[in-house]
Amino acid sequence: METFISAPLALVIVGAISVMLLSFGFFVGKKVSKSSNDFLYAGRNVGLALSTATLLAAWITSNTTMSAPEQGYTIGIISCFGYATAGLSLCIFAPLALRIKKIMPNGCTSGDFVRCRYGKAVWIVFLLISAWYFTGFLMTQAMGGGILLQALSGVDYHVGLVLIMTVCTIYTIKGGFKAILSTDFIMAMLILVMLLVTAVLAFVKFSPADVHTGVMAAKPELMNVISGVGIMYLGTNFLFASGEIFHSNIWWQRIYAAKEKVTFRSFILSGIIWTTVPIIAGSLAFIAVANGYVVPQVNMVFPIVVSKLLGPLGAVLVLIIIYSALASTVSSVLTASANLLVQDIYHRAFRPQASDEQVVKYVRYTMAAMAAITVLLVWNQPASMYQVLYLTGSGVAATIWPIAFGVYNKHVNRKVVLAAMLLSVGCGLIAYFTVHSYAAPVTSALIGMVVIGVGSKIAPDNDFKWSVLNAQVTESIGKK
Amino acid sequence: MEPVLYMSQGVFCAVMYAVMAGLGGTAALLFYILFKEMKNRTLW
Repeated sequence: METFISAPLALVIVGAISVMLLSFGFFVGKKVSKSSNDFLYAGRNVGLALSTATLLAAWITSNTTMSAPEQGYTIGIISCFGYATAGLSLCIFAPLALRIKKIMPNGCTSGDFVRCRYGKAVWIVFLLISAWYFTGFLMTQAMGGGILLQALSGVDYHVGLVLIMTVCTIYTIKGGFKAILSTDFIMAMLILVMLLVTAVLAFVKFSPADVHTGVMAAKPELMNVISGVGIMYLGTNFLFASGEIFHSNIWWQRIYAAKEKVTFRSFILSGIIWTTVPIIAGSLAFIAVANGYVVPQVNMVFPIVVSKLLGPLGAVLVLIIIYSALASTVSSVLTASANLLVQDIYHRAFRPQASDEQVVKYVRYTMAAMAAITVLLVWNQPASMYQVLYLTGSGVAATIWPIAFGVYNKHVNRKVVLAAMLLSVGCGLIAYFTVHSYAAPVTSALIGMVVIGVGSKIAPDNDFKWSVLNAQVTESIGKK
Repeated sequence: MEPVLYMSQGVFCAVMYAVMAGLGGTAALLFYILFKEMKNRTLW
């Protein structure tokens, strides 16, 4: 198998980034108090720079840099814009984020909102969808660490897998959300600067005009901006990404952590910056097409192009970009999912009297347990893991309208929401298996919108009051 | 037959340059905000 960088050099680079992450974890850990506000929300007073960077770093996954070029290479330019719509989802969530911050400033998780807004039945369905999504997401990221290190340098899959999970778990457990904020800024900047350097060097060698001419000569269909598959990909990617952002505790934890005055701006700014990443990464695939590079594995088009263009330096840049993207996402998923599990299940459902220190302690234990379980689940490298993640499309898209309607319209009926979510997931899964995986999020979101919109007009809830939300959360936090 | 509308060379070049400039500019803006907040002690 062709590798792009020698194994010792790859381990030195990954080791250096790991040492940086662990140092931050231990350094910040000494300053973090035992309160959940400090450990999980960094004191709920995070400014614009760190808030924006952490949104950015959590949302730039290994897929952003690896899959965008693959889609560009196979579907064309429209798929690069399609991938970039996931940044638009962050921007669209900005007003909702501000609204959430205003109506529930003391909230702890996305589950808090759903439980207080819609009651236990919807909350249970929501938690099941969240657990389904988190499991798939964490498994693909953990596998990503192993697969990418192996593909780039030939280092054994299990070494990369264990390394990334161990490092991310230790620094997150030690430093909490403040460690994540600090390292996310550094990693977001590493990714952006390295990607910009890569793109500038690549386009200095082959100008965009030459690349366009080469693509039009070799595969002009890649420049078709109204290709059917491309437009379908654009729509489904936007809805899938919106569902991920609207429901996932990764983003809700960041809303509660940010200062109210920076919440809106941080989502808008991170969304704008994020859109540039898949477009730039995806455009590199066109250099491969224009120059007739042989691409034996289409999912490796990004490292292949960069290594061919820039030699060993290119391979180093790719490794830094992808390892940083993976580490920032794994730590975000670990802390957000452990927070959701402990706050919503242990604290709210079983031990309302648990102390703040106990909550933090169990979040730490849960993070370690989740990391260990994830490593065991992907130890034998399941072949169809990405399909498992795509399968969650119907689930996450089913949460878009309950959240969107729920934060603005007080007349939304909780029984209608329950019916809409179940129907959306069911029909989305049917569309997944009978039509196409791309059809699942579209079907699910469409059904959710119609059922909740029409159902709440026919049977509006006239009893709900916004003040209930924060009062209930404050009361449940206060039961210690 | 699938409908076709090719992106022109001018648009492709404009998009690439704009996106690269946008990435560089916004990354610089983020650094500026970071230093400003560090100075004002409003990072967190």
